Amino acid sequence: MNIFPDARILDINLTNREIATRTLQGEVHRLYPGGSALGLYLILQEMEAGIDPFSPDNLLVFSVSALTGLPVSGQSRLVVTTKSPLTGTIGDSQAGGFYPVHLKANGYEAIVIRGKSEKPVYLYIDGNKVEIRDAQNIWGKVTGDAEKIIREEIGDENVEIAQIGPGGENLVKYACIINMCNRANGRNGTGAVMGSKNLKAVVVKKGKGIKPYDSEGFKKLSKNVLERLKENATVSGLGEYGTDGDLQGFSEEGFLPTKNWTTGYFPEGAEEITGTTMYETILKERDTCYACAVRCKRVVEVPGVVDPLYGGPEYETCATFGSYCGISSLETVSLANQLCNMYGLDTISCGATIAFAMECYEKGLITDKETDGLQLKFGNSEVIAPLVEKIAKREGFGNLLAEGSKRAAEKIGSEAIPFSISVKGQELPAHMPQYKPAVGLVYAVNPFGADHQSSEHDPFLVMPPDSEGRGRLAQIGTWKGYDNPFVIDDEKVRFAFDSQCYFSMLDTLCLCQFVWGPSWELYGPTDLLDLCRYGLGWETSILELMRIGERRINMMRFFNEREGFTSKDDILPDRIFEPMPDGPSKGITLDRHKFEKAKELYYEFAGWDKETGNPTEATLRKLSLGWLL
Amino acid sequence: MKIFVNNEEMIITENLNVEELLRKKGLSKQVAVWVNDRQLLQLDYPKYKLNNNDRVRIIRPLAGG
Repeated sequence: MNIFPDARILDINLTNREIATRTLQGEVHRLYPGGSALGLYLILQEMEAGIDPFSPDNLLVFSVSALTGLPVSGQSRLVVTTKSPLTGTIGDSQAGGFYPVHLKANGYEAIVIRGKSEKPVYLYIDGNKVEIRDAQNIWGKVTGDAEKIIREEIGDENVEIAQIGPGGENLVKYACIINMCNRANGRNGTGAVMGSKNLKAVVVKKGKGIKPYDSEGFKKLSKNVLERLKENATVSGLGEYGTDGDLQGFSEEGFLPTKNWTTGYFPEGAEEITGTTMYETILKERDTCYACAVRCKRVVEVPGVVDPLYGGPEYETCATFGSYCGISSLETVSLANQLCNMYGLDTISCGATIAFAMECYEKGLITDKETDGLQLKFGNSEVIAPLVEKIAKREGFGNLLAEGSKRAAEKIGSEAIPFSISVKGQELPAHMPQYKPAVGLVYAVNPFGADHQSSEHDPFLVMPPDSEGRGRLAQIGTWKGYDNPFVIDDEKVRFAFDSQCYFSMLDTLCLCQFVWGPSWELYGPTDLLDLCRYGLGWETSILELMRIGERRINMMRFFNEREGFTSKDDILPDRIFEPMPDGPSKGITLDRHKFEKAKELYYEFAGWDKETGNPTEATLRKLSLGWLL
Repeated sequence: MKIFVNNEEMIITENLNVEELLRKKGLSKQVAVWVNDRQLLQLDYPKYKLNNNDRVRIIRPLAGG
């Protein structure tokens, strides 16, 4: 057995340009072994409550994990942790690609960025050599152009770049951080925080991954990956058709959010924007992340219109710029994806905010006068590209939409508020709680707003008990199967909470959910123990790992409590509780009373106060978080 | 022989088992199957031979991401 490694932290003060490093001892690092758990540990040591997210006092933490860089699929993820300008809660966003491994290769598990530079700068990290460089000549540039200039300036192609586009520079509330021009730390507006610090990019010199602690034992995981893929139709389907492969299926079930969630059925357009259509028409190639065999990333091309440099749209993007807006053009969706990657905007919040604006327009709450003459009718493809640009540049009507749908609704008037389909100000991703009530529960209680990647999804509980996925879920306490996904009962709440802890642990260890999730994914919980054992010499257990996940969630709730958040903020939009109006899901309803009861039970499972929804002292102490008290 | 799959009539050959039915419909075994309201185990997919008028329900869990 190995001792748990120390974490090396780079600390950069953009105000006074001081650069320092420090070490977190392995014994403590083991409790916060990466991701936003490590980020929060660092933030909660020193950041006061009530700070403006755009204040120099807001800390911005880039982190990877103790496992990042191992030669196996699904371990190259970067987490950014900060106070979110979109939600006002703790903010957390994740991205894949190659950047995370190369950040780690420079010898750091985390970078803490504090203060604000007087003028635009970028960071260049080459091991112990860390430079704060002038970025005035790239400020205002889109990501593709900025990347070229940075490489030329450094005089080295062997660098990876995480940067903001004009969206982040202009403090769009859902601006994101982009690496490779097509991987996004998408949600929560972390890119806007970076922009508020006048920080354009964090550039890392490429380096090597890490060698497993026990190379022979590690072969158990790495040697047979292609056979695993062949045996797993769900994951290999993901590789072939991308995350968008299921879009048409969602519509055929009646649960594809359409026209700003007014229906779940999009027969006129689902087939046009689904993954198989993308595969047959505009897909140029499949891309991947460091050492990953799944290859789920899309690269698309529409000659003269959509540049493959900017990758291709995921399911969420195809939904938010597609069905949410009533649009059935894959070219429009792909161009929107490109613009978001160029300007650095979260495709989910951006598309969803435009859909919100479309409903306001259709219902006469705003007119051409407010929209700069743009006719925001559902299905009008022509408005999408101009609107995304206006949002990124905060021009005209785009300035209002740059605030997100919740703030925009508050400005438009009370009639618009029900049209913002959001939780804590973050727009809902394209998984309907009516279909996936456990996902809906986690949307409501998740510390950083509605997020579809914070727990396992209900439909996998309909699989037979002898399926591998059900067997794996039983290892983390979910024993019950269902005839359909729509039920919400005590065991569903257990599933929501336990899978949330598991996913939280994956986000801490910076592992990709498609590869390491607890059910249908490529590797299961037992394999994860092997990854830790053979990768790091870390003899761990499902108990320790679930606690790591639970600890992260509780630190987030603690952060939020200091900011004034309570159970009153754990609510779903009213529209979610209306019966599905038409299509194959007509009449299916998420019962509000049952949902509220489920939420109360969730608080009890989590060890939180039933009234406030906040962690009790006992729960914090149980998780070794007494130092927060 | 006539069966119903997700409420739609389908004509199949005799002795077709569930795994073969799934293959015909372009599905892998990573779906849930009920025949006449009884859920089958996955290991029964190649064993269960369909009968005339069997009512088959197939659910393919949808992920997205």
